[in-house]
Amino acid sequence: MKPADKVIIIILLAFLVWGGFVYYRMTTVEESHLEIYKGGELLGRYSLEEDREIRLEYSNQINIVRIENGTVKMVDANCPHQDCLKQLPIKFPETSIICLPHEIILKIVSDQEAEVDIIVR
Amino acid sequence: MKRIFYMAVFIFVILSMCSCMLNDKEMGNIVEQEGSFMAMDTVISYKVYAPKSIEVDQLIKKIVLDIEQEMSRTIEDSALSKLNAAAGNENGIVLTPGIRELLEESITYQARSDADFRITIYPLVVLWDIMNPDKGVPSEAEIARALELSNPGMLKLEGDRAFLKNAGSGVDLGAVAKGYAADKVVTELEKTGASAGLISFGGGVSVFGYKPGNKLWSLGLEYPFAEGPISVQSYYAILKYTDMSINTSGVYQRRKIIDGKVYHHLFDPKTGYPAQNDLAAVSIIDESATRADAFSTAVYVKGFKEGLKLVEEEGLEAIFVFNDKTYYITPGLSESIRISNSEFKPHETGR
Repeated sequence: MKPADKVIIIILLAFLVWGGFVYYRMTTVEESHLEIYKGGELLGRYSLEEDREIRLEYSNQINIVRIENGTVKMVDANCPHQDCLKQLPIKFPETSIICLPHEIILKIVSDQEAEVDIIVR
Repeated sequence: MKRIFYMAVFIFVILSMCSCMLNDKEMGNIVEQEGSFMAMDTVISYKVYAPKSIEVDQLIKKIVLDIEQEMSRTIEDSALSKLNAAAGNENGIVLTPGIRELLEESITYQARSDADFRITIYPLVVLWDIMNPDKGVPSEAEIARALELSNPGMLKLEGDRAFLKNAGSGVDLGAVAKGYAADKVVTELEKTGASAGLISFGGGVSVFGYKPGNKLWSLGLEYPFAEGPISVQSYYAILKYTDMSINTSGVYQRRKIIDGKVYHHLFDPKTGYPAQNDLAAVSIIDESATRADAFSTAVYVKGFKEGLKLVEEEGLEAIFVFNDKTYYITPGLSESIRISNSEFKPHETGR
């Protein structure tokens, strides 16, 4: 293999990576928010841009939510089975983490969703 | 090795050409055309993806203004006004094809809703004159007389003629004319090659096709209570849908307050008074905007229990909002709607 061939292969690979990145940006990275619900009630909306920890404590039911690098996960909870801690971090719209015993739902909601074309009066 | 290189370049070029062609096909000469104007006693707004050569604004205005000129109760020389002026005249009058079509359609909805949607409600509408703040509550005798004149039997169609039996009786197409116009607009837009569109008459919105990127239309359902900071609670739910019309009948807009009591524009044609129930609003969803219009009125007047029965019989979809901020959504909509306001809770239907 000549050195020129290697250069060409590298260029092609670079194109591929760049193409993949553009595709990724176009299809997946949308502006979205985290919505936290307890018992069906919206507790709050949080930006995914800003890393933070949110402590939810309601009559000794504790859940700790962490937003980090645009992903959300449950990092601590005192629920009986701790299933919520085992759920994968979420990032994309309409994905969620649920803590059944504490009736907590963490849900990613696309901002696109909040935008409406029109309001029906 | 060289061959691999040329192959790669060739494939790359072909792929880029393909993607360009796809883009062209997707948008092509289709452009987004948006605007609004006032007619039919409301703000009409539209957003249409149509060929550049089509003047969407002109097309929509022509259809809407022609229908208004034909079917308005308040325009003196409208075809409808002429019909109402001929009330009691035994020769009746010859109808224009448009009004005849809508009258015939309305009469079938009237029959299927047990006349809770009623186009012969004209005498009651005129008597109450709900948008006139100076007019008080009519006397019981006046209401009884108007009720008699509002009987569905007052209107008869024979061939291309219409007859109104008694002087003082009349037809009001206010509950369906906007839906009828919306249906016509959508049909005509589709004929032009428009790929998607939305037309709103305020309480009625029709959508067709998919927005660029294959997206559904997203409709916010207005917070149906007069009180509260409207700016943050502008809508309580988001409906994602296409190829359908939605119509909301609510009592938080067209109304007046006399001696601390609220009187609104949705009359119960059996009592002669504004319908009394625990509903703040009803939205009906159907392929036909005219049907959605007619039945949203009927369902509101019937109230939840009877209204839901009618919805099920007619194969409609509906969203009921109660005064206590609870809601009921028909099962067919559950995947398409999201309640965005956490004040709203599901209604206990007891069934």
